[in-house]
Amino acid sequence: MLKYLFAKNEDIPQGSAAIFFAFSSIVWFVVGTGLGSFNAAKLAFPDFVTGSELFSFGHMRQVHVLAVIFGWISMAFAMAMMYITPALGNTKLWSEKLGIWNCFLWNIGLSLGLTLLWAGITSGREYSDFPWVIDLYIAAFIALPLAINVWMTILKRRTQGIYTTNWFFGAGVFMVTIVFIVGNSPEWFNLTGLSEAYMTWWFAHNVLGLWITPIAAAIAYYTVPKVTGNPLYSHRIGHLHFWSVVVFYSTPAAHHLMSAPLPEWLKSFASVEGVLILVPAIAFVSNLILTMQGKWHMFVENVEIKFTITGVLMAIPLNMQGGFQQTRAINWYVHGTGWIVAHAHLALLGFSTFLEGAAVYYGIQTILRRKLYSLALANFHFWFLLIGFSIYWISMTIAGLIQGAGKIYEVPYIDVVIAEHPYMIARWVGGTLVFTGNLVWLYNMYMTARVGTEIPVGRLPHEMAYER
Amino acid sequence: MSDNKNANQTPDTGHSWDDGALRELLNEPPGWWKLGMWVSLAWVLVYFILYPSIPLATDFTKGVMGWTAIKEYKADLKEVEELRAPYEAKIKKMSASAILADSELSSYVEKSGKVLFGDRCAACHGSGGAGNPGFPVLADDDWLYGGDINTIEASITDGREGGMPAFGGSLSAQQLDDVTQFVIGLAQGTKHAAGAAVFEEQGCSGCHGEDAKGVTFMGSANLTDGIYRFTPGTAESVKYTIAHGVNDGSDPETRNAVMPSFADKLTETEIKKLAVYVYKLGGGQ
Repeated sequence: MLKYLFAKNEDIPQGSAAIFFAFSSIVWFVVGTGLGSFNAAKLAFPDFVTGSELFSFGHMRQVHVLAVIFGWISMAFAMAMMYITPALGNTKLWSEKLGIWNCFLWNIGLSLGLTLLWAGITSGREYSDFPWVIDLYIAAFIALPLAINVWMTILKRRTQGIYTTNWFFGAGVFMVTIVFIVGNSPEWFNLTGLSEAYMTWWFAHNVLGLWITPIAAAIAYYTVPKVTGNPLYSHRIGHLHFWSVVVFYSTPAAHHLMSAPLPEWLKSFASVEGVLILVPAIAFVSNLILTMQGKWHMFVENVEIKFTITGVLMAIPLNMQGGFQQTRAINWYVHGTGWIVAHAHLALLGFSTFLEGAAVYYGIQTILRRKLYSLALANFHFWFLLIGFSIYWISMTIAGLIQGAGKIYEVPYIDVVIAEHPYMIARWVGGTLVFTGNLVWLYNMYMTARVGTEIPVGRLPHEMAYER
Repeated sequence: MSDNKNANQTPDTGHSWDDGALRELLNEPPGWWKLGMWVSLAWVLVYFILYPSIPLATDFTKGVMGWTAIKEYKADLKEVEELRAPYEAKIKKMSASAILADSELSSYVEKSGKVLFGDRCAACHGSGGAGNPGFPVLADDDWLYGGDINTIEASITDGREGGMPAFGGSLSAQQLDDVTQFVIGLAQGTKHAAGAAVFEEQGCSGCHGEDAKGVTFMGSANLTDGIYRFTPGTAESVKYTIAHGVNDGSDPETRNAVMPSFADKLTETEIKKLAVYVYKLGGGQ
């Protein structure tokens, strides 16, 4: 990678930036889930690694959260953008060199930010934990270069019209930059109290609603038609999905603060938006399910489709939960419990991870023109992710319901701790399965790059999956 | 969703991407989805009329029901408080022992006491008073300072601090072993003559009593019942206690046994409730 930093743009092979992003994202995923497994062990076994401030839960938690969001998920997005955006425009990436620098500065900045968090230097706001220097760095050297590269590639396209995926990519990079600058306003304007709380959740929810969810969906809009060979079922549904997210989903932040003394109308507004997310979510799911017509055998046979459709189907429970758990009628019960933790993992480890996984699998094979090293290991990875995640989600959902009942019925806290203990152990088992699966993935993708069978010109990787 | 229905007959947008690999068809959204969308939008309209929701220049629409979260919360709280008020008023006036004697009040207090105990006591004494290593079990009927209701109330209000001098310096290794064996033997019904002599000479009986059954006003432990203040009740643990004492400032390895005073942390009513709850845990003495 380092040798390309100062090479001429023309001398850098096409797709290099995407490949660096791909492997960075996998490494961050291994690191992030490793930390997750470690943190889960601390909650399941209170005597596990004590006596050190650095390894206490309060120091380690944010490192896990931000490593998976800005390491794994966001870098996998960047990877997808670097090869899907040019492919859709029948062109090449506007600047491979900018892409390489983007990836380099991203890894440096993220490592630095996470080290600061680990040392306890934090803004103290959940999800926007990074201190202001790192926030500025992310806006200037991570989000903006990515946005410029994506926009310029779209502008330089050699096709008529813009494919659905690129609408989302183009809008997503714009929105995440704005979210970073505006969402950190408590730092620029020294906001405190309710204003700070509101902006914290404005940031946190919009990173999910305007970045992670739409970009993950955009990946599915590409992989499903590309791998199955079917045209996208409906241009119109794509439109409805895109515009309803972009126009209506920008102010649901208050639904994280339903018990706070925010203005009542703001909470109503947020709550209604939260329920309405079901409209675009179901639009998205139906569009892809209908695109799959006649190709359902690929859900079993093809690894990319297996990942993508699993992710797409998870959008249903995700948005059912998300839509209703934030209403006043339900939120008072589940607020502040493990239910929410389960929901957050359904969004990030369930829905979006499976979609990104497909993009990274497919992208590495397409760019390097090398067939997947081992289909068996890929299936192993899929099942470890799915089973690990399911154990995690089910156990934390049950733990959340127990905690909710404990909260409402004044059950002594210590009794709740005893009652939820088995589920904490189950969560650790689930998280550790995910981590193990990811180690296998890293090995599989490394071996693909090194010794994968070459794909001849004119053929696609998934067509050769079962050829020896 | 029959197989491959219309997959290639619906017209597309006329555009293609990725070297012709991707096209978008012009299918309409499914009817059920459109219905869902219009129903959702109708629901939004109704919601906005009923609840506070639309921001105006300096104010916002209040909704035709006049509902707010804080009103609902206050109404619910009032309902609970009205239910509890007659009991709370009586508890405030009565002593702990009188509450215990009144069967209706006593069962009311047992329930609210459980919540209080869980929040304020269970961290040390365990859930339901089951005890934790280093902290006394409250769910049995063995009491250091006495188990009647007034004493329990006093223990909670003023706290307790046990005290036993460290004998590690004044006893020889042999004497320490002997007296340990004697103490262990007390609960098992075996006798250890040499240990008994040390017990007498060193003045152990001065606190634990001639019969070694403990003296409640000093909080000294009953050594004959096989219930140990410092678990586990092994010879090793007993020997440690004798050698290092309890709360003996001169021995850095001494046992700690301090129950803090709750006089300024809880109200008198709460202390009364806890006293009744704890008394009932042990079955009453």
